[in-house]
Amino acid sequence: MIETPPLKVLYVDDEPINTTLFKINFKKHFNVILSLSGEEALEKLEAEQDVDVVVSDFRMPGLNGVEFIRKANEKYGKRPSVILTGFDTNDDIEAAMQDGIVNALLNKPMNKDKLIATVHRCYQSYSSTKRAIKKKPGQ
Amino acid sequence: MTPTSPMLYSTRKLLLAFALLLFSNLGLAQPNEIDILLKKGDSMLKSTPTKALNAYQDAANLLTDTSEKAQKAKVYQKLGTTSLQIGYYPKAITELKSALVFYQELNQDSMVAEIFSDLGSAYYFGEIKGGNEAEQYFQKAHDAFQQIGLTASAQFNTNYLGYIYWAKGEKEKALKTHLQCLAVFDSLNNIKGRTTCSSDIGFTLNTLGRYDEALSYNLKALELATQMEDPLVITPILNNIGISYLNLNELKKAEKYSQLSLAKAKEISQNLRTKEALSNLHNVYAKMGDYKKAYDIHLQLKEINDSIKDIEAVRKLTQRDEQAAFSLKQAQLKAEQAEKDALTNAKINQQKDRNIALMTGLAMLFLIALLLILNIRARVRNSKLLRQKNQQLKDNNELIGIQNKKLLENQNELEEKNEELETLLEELKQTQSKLIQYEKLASLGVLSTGVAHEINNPLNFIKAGIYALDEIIEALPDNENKEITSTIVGHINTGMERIGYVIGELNRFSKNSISKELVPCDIHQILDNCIRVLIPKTDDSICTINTNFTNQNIVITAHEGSLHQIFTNIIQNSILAITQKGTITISTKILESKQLEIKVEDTGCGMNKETLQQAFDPFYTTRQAGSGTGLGLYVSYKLITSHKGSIHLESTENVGTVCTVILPLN
Repeated sequence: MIETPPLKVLYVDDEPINTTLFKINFKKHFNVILSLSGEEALEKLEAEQDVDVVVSDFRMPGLNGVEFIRKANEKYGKRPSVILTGFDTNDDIEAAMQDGIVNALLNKPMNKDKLIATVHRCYQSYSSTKRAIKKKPGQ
Repeated sequence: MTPTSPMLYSTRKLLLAFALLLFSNLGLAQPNEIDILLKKGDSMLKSTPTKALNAYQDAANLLTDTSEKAQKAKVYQKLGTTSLQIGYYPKAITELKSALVFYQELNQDSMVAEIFSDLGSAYYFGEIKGGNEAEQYFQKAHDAFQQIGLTASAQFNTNYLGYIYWAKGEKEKALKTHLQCLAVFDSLNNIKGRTTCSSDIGFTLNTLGRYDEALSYNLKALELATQMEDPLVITPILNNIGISYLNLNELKKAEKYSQLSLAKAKEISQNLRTKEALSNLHNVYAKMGDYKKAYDIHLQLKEINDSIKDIEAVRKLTQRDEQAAFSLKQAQLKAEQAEKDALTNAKINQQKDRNIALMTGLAMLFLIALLLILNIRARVRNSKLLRQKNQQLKDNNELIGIQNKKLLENQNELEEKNEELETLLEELKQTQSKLIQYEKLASLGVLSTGVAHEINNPLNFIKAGIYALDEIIEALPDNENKEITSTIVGHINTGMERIGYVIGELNRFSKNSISKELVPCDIHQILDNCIRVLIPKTDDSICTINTNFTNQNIVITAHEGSLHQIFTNIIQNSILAITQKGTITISTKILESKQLEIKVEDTGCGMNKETLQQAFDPFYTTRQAGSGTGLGLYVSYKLITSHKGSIHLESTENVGTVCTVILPLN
């Protein structure tokens, strides 16, 4: 049995406490990369294009979570994304979910197990779609 | 010369002497008869003044050139004063002026003064020559009385001047006059004068709108008049007081005094005073808003007005008749006199002037005929005028009747409008309080969505921290410290979760979470679900839940989750209210207004007024700390209003509570 390497997760949040604790809590489950803003996260993606899942806060100075994910998708291709926010929901997030830009919405205060499960679910449903698309030309 | 001629001469002389004697006897009889007639008149003066006047007139007819001046003066004076008393003012003036001439010739100064005063009155009451003549005569009377040392009488005449000024519209001047007179009467300590002047001042001040001052003078006048016990004086004073109080807005007192005045006026049968009192009383009731009483008074006033007009019309008519008859009589008298004179002259001068005398007689006859014709014409004209006036009066009365009817209709309309307005005001007040409540709740909604993020973020620190700590604790060796640390972290987690729950509740009704997913909802099914969910939490040994649903199937378009939340909250409150044996009845009904009514009634502990007022306030709870958020009814309210419905609570302590929810059917 080959052990699958942990997923590479980019977590974006303007609160350093959140990012620090995220790393502590999830280092056993994911390969965690951190950013304190959307702009910084875009640079990180430039360097590390193999990030599997993006988890981002919504309300941040500069780019908000949805804006950052849109830009990242445009620049570096589509990848599964999760919004983790203190808000219930809002029109921006709803629209992004309709467009398939954001795949899941999680609320703060976060639930550890739920977050792990959501990240995995998003990655799996994404990669299966990707595989299906990839298969097409080679038929 | 024949011897018979001296004898004849002496016979002639004898005859002449006899004739003279006869004549002189006749002359002596005259004053006696006049005196008798005057006495006869005096005796009737009080009861029937018109009959007295006739007697005096008969006496005057007996007067000749040879009558004594004193007698003539007396007769004419009586004729004058009686005419004045009855109200035949032009006749009074003529007679008084004749009397005046004789008294002046006789140098009877006190009588001259009296007649000046009477003349003033005749001109004033007869409203003849615009008051100038009256003013002059009162002034003359004052001077004449003053000269002979009758200061009080003089002062009364000055006071009369005040009436004239007032009638001319010079109210300030009238007031000044009355005030000066009062000062004089005060110094003379003349009660009648003081009463009259105080009353006059009060009256004038009332007409000047200075009601406070008027009241004090009138009250003083009343005090003095009460000492005199003269109802003629008291009646107008009482009414003046009523007028002052009316305008000072002391309506109860105004009513009292006007009623007193009315009673006195009726007692002395004074129509004019009765009218004044009624008029003021009418105004009092109108101002009180007691239109029924005002209308009753108005009817009485109308009646008295009609009777006064009748009396005046009759009086004027008789006055004219009397005058005409009087002139005729005088003309006849003069004509007879002239004829007599002519005949005597003719006898003396034989035939010398017979023709002239005849001519004169004929001329006189012609004059009489002329006067008669004139008289008849005047009478015809007068009666025509009277008929016209009567018709006018009738028309006016009808008009007043119609206006009154309209007034009553308007009044009814006004009353109805007033009621409508009051209902509207009540509705407005209710709407306002609802708006305030809504505003309060709405602002919290806005606040909570903004605040949620700010709280959830730091909560996330704690939650993530707890997760991290949990792992660290897990790795610790099993000992007491590990156990304690684990318990403490557990408590931190409980606190965290409770905060999270409150924030979650606040967020749940926020606009975004309820505006979606409007689906057809079977209200009976939802209510049944709510009951089913709550029954496990209910102590069924004390609490019975009954349903009384309408037979109709009710489906409304709504947010299903919201409906669940609303009715769970409401029913749960009822369950919590039942601490001893009690029942909850849930009923549904379709209202005529095409609305759905859901009623949740319980026989629980109920709420006091204070609690009821705050029941919808967020975070208001009567439950123990930690066992209720105080958001149940607040959230229900928000959800119901977002469904365009309404919620209403009625409660009595220790009896129970009724919660009524109204939702639109479509």
